[in-house]
Amino acid sequence: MTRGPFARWTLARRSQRAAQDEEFTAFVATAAPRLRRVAYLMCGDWHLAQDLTQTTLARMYASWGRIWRHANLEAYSRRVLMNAVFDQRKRRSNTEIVLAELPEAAHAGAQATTELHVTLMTALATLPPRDQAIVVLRYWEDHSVQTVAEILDLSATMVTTRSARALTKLRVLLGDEFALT
Amino acid sequence: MRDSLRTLFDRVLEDEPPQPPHELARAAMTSGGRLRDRRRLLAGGGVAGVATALVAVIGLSASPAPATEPAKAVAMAMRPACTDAARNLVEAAIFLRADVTDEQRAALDESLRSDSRATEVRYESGQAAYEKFKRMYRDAPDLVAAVKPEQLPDAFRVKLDRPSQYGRFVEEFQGRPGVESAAVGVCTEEAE
Repeated sequence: MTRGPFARWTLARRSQRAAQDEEFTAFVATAAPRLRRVAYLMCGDWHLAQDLTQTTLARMYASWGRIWRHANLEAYSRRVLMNAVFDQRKRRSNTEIVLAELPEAAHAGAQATTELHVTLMTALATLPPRDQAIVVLRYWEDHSVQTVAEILDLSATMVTTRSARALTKLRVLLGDEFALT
Repeated sequence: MRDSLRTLFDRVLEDEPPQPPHELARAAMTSGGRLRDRRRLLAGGGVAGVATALVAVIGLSASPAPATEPAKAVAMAMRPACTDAARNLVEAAIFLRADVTDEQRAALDESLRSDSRATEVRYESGQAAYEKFKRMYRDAPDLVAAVKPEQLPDAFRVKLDRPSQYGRFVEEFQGRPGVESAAVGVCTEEAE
């Protein structure tokens, strides 16, 4: 059976695998930097962001043969990433208490970059994980309501109401001077 | 607030450390490949693994009148690899005999729908199963070419209230008139 269907299939499969791997490498090159930034805005820790990006890419590679022709790989990768973030949160919340209070000095004004940093990231962390994801995807990534809804498996209406609520909360936590920056 | 929020995010991201170059894709391929293999084992053979086995079966039994066995293997194997979204999906599949009568089909439909354990009952014709099969195995044209639409059995696909009920449920339907076989499938829903 040197040229049986199995042999032919194996050959075809092998060259297709190589083509897919090439596509994957190209995808990682273009998508990884931005994925890592999204991950950072979700967790506030560059090391963890790197790990989450790695997890996301590994999970995507595991089903690459099925998804590589996906019309919107970018949105798909956000979905995988957010699930990785939510999983990580769930695990972490079992072992550690999350800081839910803003530091006293939040409204001190004239913040240095590092202080702004701490304030914004802490304020974000007080939002429920899904609301935080909505804010990052909508206002930093600039995805449409519809795309955010698909990424997070929520209805469009829910994305709209939850993002409005999250923004109000952020505005209160950050104070007016931030909103005008 | 919108624009200013983006500016804030951008400023927060200013101290981004350099991305370790190149290794990212390779590392993802290594650990992703392992993940895929593990999933295949768990799913009792994912798409590619099953396709390999099925092509082997069909290749060996290649004869002018193709046996129906490979097609049944295909029908049983139609469980796409589990994705995160589909991880917890399980369903029972009750495959009907080729010579099932309308009465038997109706009786099965009736008892499935009145079964208190079943939360969802879906009828899938052999033709519909064939279309799904073609989509799932579009990467393996030899396999698709070896299977004829009429070889795939009609089936009921049933979701149950509790996962622990599947074993018993499948056993009960195994010997019913018109039933070829019954099986439990994991992650039967197509992803996305």
